[in-house]
Amino acid sequence: MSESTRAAEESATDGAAVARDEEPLLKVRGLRKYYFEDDTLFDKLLGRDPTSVKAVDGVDLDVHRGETLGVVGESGCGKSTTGETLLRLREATAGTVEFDGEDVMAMSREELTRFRKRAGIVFQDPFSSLDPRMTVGDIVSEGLKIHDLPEESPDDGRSKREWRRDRAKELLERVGLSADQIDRYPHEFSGGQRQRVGIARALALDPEFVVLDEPVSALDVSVQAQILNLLEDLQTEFGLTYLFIAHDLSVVRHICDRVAVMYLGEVIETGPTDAIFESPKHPYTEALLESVPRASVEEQGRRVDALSGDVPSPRNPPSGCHFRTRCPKVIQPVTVDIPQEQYRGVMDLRNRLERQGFSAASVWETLESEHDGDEPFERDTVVFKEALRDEFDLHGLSGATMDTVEDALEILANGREDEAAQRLRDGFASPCEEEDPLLSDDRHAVACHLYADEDYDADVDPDRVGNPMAGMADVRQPDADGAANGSAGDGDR
Amino acid sequence: MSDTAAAGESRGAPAGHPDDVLRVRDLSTRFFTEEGQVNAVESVSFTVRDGEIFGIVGESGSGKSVTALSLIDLVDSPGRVTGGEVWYRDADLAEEFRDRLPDAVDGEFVDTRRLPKGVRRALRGPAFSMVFQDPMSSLNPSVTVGEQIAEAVEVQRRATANPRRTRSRTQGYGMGKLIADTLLPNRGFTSESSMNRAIELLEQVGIPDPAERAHEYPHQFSGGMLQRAMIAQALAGEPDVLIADEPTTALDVTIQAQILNLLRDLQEQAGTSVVMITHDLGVIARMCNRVGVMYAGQIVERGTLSDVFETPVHPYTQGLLGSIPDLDDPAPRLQPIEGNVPSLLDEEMGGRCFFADRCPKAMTDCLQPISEYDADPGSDEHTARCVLAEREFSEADALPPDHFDRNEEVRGDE
Amino acid sequence: MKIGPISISPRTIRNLRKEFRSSGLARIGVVLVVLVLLAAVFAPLIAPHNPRTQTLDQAQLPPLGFTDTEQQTRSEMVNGSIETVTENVTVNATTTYPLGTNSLGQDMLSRAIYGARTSLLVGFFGTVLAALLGVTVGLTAGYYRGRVDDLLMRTADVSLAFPSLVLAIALIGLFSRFQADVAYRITDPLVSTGFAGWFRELVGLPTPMPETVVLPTVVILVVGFVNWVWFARIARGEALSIREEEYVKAARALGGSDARIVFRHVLPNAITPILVLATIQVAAIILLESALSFLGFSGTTLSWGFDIAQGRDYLSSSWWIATVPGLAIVLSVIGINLVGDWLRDALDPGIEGEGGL
Repeated sequence: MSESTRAAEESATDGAAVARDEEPLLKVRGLRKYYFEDDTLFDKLLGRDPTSVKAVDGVDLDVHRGETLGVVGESGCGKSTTGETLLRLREATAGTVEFDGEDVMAMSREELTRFRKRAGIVFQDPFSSLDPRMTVGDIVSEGLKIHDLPEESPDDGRSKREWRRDRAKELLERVGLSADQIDRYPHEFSGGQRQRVGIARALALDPEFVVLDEPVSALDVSVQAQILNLLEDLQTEFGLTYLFIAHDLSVVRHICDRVAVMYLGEVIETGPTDAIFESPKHPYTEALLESVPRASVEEQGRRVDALSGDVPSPRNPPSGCHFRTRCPKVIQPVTVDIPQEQYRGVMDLRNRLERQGFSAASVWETLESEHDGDEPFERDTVVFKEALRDEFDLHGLSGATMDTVEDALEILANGREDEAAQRLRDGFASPCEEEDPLLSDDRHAVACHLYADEDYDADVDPDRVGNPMAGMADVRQPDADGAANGSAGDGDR
Repeated sequence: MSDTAAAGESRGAPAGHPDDVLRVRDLSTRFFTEEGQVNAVESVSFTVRDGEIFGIVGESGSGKSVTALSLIDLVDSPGRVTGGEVWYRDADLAEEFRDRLPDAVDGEFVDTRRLPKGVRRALRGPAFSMVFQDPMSSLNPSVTVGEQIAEAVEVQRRATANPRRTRSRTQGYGMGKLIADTLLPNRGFTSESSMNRAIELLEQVGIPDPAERAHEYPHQFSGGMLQRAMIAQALAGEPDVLIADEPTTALDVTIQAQILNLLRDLQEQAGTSVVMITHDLGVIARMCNRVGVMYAGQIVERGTLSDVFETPVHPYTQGLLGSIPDLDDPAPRLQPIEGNVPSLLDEEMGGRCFFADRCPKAMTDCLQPISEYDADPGSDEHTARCVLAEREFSEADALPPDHFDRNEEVRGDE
Repeated sequence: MKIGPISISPRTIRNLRKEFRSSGLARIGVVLVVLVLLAAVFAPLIAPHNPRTQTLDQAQLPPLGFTDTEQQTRSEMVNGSIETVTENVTVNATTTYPLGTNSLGQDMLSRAIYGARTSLLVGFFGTVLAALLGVTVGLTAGYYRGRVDDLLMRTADVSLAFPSLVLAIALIGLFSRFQADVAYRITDPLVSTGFAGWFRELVGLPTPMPETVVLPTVVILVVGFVNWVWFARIARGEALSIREEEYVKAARALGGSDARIVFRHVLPNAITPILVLATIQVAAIILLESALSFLGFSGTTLSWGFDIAQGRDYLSSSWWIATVPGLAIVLSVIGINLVGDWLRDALDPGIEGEGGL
């Protein structure tokens, strides 16, 4: 984990090496946001160590003036937390955010107030993002009131209050509502209209930069298209810079200039939209794009090689590359040379043993439940091993690898899960689990060992494997050892 | 709006394809709320064939979920299915009722709407079952997943053991058992054999470690795993028709792909017919053979996938297709449908095409009720509830743009 | 409609009206509360007698419709010697004292009417104090969470652990150390302006009325301090959930200060359950006040609880002395609770804000 921090420093110094037309408006480096569970007074008294949930785990982003940077990822990947943390709506655990050359994290109260005028946010949920007890006029002009705008009474004899009301009317009209709706309450509007109100609120202070946190994902497609068009128009009209957070890839493709793909709190690939969508580099991005159903006739019956399993828990992310537990292209160590599917199968078995509390007993139970017939069920290790070979696609191995796998299965059938896991770890540890890959330093950057120049022939040290906290000393983390040590073998359920 | 189903001419099952397992005609569901009568489903007709996936696509409030609930008679008060027929093909059932309810039987088809309540209920499970959108709230949080599936298995077993003609499924659940269950709420409702079947089902839907996970509670499952468990539960009765109401909406794309693959496997291997209800045109495109597009409680256009996607006739279908950004070919500008979905309140609907107020091609002809016309392009099955299926658009008959604004209280979007 | 941070939408008013029409209990509650309120406010105008005037020859008269037999002892000259004769005399009720009189000959009806003043004053001000304290603490704890929350809410838990009457008596003991007066007397505006006199003359009720209203300050402080916990808990719960709403985040993103967010967003959205609780707390506080004055801690003798205490000794002979104030308590508490239920049903946030179907 220290690696990516180092990467942040490196890319900050080497920044000149990459051809950039100008200094980015927003520069995020090594942003981390951890939540700590079991962290109450009571837990302290009981001597419990807090567990950290790494919602955002070292994110680097650049947003240039006038562009739309998309941040995509599945739920729980930390994209929304990133958006809120870089606006300092949540306090970051570590990292820097520079907005127009100023460090947001170090801003004083007054500086922060000034920053709030320049950077706004639009939220996802059109129902919870508007205060149900305020009229839309009050909602839209709230920012003006907070910053006591206009600074001086208008010349035309209007009071400040009237000026604000007129401004709210203008804004409502601009986002496609009618000015005479200013005294209505949010519940009188449809989802799309509420989202327009939310956009008007964000625009009231004339910001330069707007974080759009899933602004259309709660809307129906026809309304979604209206809002997307509106956002595009506003960007052109006011010269806005957007950070567009979304999980819908087609929306991102439509509206973004550049994209950053996140997985488990990290940016794993970033680059120009067309490059990402037409020639994705990271296996996760590929899988993501592959999975999206296209609305066209050609899509009919298309079968997707879906990624197996679920996203691991951010409480206990996998060591090294976070995606390695699901990656179809996980790298084999030099000592192993088997078809990729089988290697994936071995890794799946290992992963289940190491991280999900897989036990031989449950396999026996499953076998017993399938067993019918009159004779009593007998535990037959041959059946046991065959069942696992079927489940994990382990047929057709040969030589030394087969011996290791067979050994491990035998040990597992005897109920010694830890030992079986150790045997597999010794035989099959992947370079992907040793080091967290760095985000490369070009326009289309990717954090994947497949694209690294380094030579992974160096032997894998099994002791370092499986310890996700290795080298965590530089990040504030109370009692890191206690939280970390249990993680290697523990299930994350 | 009058009850279209009340029309006396509809005798027997509608004509259709020989493989049809379900033929729905003029199904209407109303909600009687304090604000007024809501016509959630309005004369919906469609057919589902053996082993196919039929898609119903629509935006929120289009009545697609209520259609699903109406099919299996699960509409709750204040809603009621007010008319229509749901013809289900089941030779045994037809034989059983041929003499008692001649109106409800036609060949191998039975109109489930005319069957006694108990029989209708008994069809849930072996004939129809349903997968809901939100797996978290569809499973009981305080009972293990395995137990809940085993319970479904048990219920189905009892239903098969007791012929549905005479007994309802709850028979055999006497006072003694009731008292025992009340006193010992966790007294297993399930036998070992149904638990084993539950584990088998969990394995069938691709849950790893099924034996162990069967003993876990819903909150210990991830969203994708829960949706699999829900599907396992729905499969307990080996249904002929599986109704999947937004089965992947709450899930991430990679997990969605897993679940869609699973549904595809079920349909191909077990020959289950699936009614897939979703708002996602991409999911429809990947999964479905035939599609119905719903708007304001009606199926406005239906036909094969290519009928609807390649040669849509209804301006709503066209607008919907123009609204989605294309992943592979980003258009510079989307072509959204202006305005909002109507409220479906009976008094506000009037007897016109419900889309006329948003339609770029609204004509004076659209101000009267529109029936389903055969649409020319595409296959024989292509129909649309739109006058454009019958005639060309002409500027001369076009409605003035402000036609609907005049009597509207709230101005719509834009 | 807008009252401070509370804005009442037309929808809320519609719900209130609808619930009122459909629920008979709500109507009973409102009628009871209005009656008690009217009695309290216009006591000097409508009370038939001065509640303090003692007419010893008219003591222990029964309420209208009842008779009472009383043993009377008198000395009589019988055959030249003085003998004590005991005989049973039937005492009839008079329309002058429709609800009878107590052992001092004070009019029970007038005392019940004036007692409503004390009860409602304590109920209202006690609730306001409890709500101010509790809502402040609760919103702070819920909004800031963490250590602040731990500290404030553990304090609340501790004070909940005491039975409220015991806590109240302990607090009264504490307060009386610092303050000599348990109660303040304030001049009754209706009497001092002469309006009451003029009005009574007009309708033929000539007795002069008490010039002052007793405000039992210590009791108000004490019931406030005893009951704030309930408000704190409700307000904290609401704040905890409202602070997670996106409109609160939105206000922070616009640069709104914590105070502004709490006052403009959290409080208005938490106000409904607080109002409902406040209504029910008025009833609870009236009960507590009665208990305190029953035990003699109230600082005023014009109180329902005090009258019950008085009547306790006469329960076997003159049951009405305790029953009349007892009924007054029961009816007003039931009335207030029914109003509380009505508000709760009508303002249920689940109904409010939802866009129909």
